[in-house]
Amino acid sequence: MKKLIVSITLALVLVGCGNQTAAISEPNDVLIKVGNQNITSGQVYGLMVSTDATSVLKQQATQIILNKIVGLSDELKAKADEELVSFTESVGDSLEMYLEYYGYKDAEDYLNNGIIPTLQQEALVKEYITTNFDALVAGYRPKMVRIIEITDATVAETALAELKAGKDFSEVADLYSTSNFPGDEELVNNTSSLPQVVIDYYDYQTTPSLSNVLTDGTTNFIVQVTEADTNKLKDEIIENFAMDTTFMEKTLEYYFVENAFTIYDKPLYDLFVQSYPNYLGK
Amino acid sequence: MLAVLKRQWFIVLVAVLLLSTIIFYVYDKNKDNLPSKSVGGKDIVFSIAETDVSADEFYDELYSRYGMGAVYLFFERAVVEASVEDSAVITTKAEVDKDGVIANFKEYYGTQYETYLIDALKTLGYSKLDDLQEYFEYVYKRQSMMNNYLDAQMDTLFPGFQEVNSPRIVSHVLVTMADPDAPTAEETERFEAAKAALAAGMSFEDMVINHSNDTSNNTMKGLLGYVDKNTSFVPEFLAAALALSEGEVSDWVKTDYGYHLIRVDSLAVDRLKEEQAFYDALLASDVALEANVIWSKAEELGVVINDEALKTELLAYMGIEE
Repeated sequence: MKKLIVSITLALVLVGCGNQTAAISEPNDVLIKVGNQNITSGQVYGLMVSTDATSVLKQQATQIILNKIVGLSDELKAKADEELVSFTESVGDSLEMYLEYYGYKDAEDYLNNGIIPTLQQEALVKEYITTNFDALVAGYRPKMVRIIEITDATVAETALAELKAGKDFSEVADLYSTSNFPGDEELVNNTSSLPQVVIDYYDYQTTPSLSNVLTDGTTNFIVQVTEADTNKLKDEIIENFAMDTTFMEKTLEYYFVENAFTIYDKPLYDLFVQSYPNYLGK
Repeated sequence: MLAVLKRQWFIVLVAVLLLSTIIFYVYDKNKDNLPSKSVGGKDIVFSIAETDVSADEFYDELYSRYGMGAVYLFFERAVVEASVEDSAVITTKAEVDKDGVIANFKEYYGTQYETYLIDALKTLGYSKLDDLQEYFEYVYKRQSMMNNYLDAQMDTLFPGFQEVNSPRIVSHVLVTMADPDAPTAEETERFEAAKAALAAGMSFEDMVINHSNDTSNNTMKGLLGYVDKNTSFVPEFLAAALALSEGEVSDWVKTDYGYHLIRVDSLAVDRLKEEQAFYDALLASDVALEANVIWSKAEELGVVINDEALKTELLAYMGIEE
C-alpha cells in the first residue's frame, strides 16, 4: 500500500516534467555591461529563438541530411565552382552588392552556404524522385502536351478542324492562339498552373490524343497530348519535378521522418509542428 | 480478503475510482510531453540522422543570422534604462499607449488576443503581457534621451537642418470642395463668403473660426503643427507653406481638398521644440545620429565589452567607426 501511494505521488510530481526548454551552457555569461545593466547570452538566445527559430532549425537539420546523404563529391564541388564563376561574370562589378543583398559575407560564403546546399538539395530531390518514380507518376500523372487558346468559339472549331485535317500544331497555334499559349510542347501534371478544364482533359489520357474544343465559359482551349508514357519521359520528369517546390518539400519531409528528426525543446516543437507538421510525421 | 472486500465494498469502489482518475490524469498530462535530451552535459535542441544539435550549436547558428540585431536591441534598451529615470509623465503616457494596444488586439483577435500580444512582445525581448507597460515606458524614455541630446546639441545641429529642410510651424484655413475644378453652388457660396471676409480685413484666427471647414484642427486655431520639406502634404500646399516667411499668410492656394489660406506661425527653434515631430525630423535627417547618441551615452555610463570582436561587430552594426 505504501509503495502504491509513493508511486502515485511520484507520478503526480513528474506530471509535465518532460516539457523542458533546452538551455545553452552559459546563459548568465555577460556579453555587455552598461551601467548596472547586464546583457547575457541567455537573453540574446531567448530573443533569437522568438525571432525565426523554426526556419533556422529546419535549414540546419536539412544541411545535416544533405551532408549525410548527398555529401560533397568532386563532381558537385566542380559544378559549384563553375556556377560561382558564371555568377561572378554575370554580375561583374556588382558582385559585392549582390552578395550583401542576399546576406553573404563574400564569394566563398555564397559558394559554401548558397550554391553548394542548392546543388546538394537538387541532387537529393532527384534521388527521391528516382527512387519513388512509379508512385509519384501514378499520383501526378505527368505528360507532354501542347495547348492552344482561342477566345472565339467559332474560330476554335475552325482551328480544330485544321488540326484534324493534319495541319501542324505549331502552325495552327501561330495562326489562332493567344500569346498565353503559343502551342509549345511542355511537361505538365495534374497540379500544374493551368485552367482546370485543360487539366481535366489531359489528366487521365494514357496515349497521345487531341481534345475537342474545351471551354471554361470565358475562353476556349485545344489540347494535344503528345506523350503520356512516363517511362519515355523519365529524364524530363525527374528534371521537371526536381525544380518544383512541391517535390522539394515532399523530399525533405520524407528524409526528415526517415532519419528520425526529433525536437527536444517544447516551445520550439510547438512552433515547428504548426509550420511543418509533415516533417515530424504528424 | 474477500470478506473484507465485501464488507468495505464502498470504500474499495471509491479507492478504485480515485486511482483510475489519478492514472488517467497522469497519462493525459504526459501524453503530449516531449522527452528531453542531454549529451555531455549539454541540452540537445534536436537530432536527425544520428546527429545531435545542442542548444549551444543552435545558438551559434541563430547568432550568425540574428545575433547582432538581438545584442543591439538589448544594448540600446540597457543604455536607455540607465540614462533616463522613471517619471510619472512617462508612466502615464505608457499606460495610455498600453491600453490602446490591448484594445486594438482585443478587437482584432478576440479572446485569443493575449497569445498574439505575448508573441509580439517576445520578438521585442519581453516575455509576458505585463511587459507591455515596460515596453512603452522604454519607448518614451528613449524619446526623452534623444530629445535631451538634441537640445544639448541644438546650436550645432539646427542651422544646417534649417537650411536644408525649412522647418516651420504652420496653420491654415480650408474651404473644402469635393471637386475644386467643379465646385457646387453651396461650395462656391462658402468660398465667396470667405474671400469677402478676408478682403474686408478679418483676422486669420477669425477666418479659422468662421470660414474653415477642416474639423480636425478648427478647435486648435487651424494649427497643422510642424512642417518641413519632407512633410507629406500635397505639392501645391507644401510649396506655398515653404515659401512663406514667419507670420506671412499666403494667397488662396488651390488643392484637391479645396482652397487654403496658409500661415507660417513660427520659424523659431524654441517654438519648433514644442513639437515632437521636429525632434523626429532632426533625427531622421542624419542616419548616424541615433546610433551615435546611443554609443556616446553608453560611453558616459561606462560600457564594458570584454570581447573585442563583439565590440567591433557591434560598432559596425551601429555604423560607428571606432
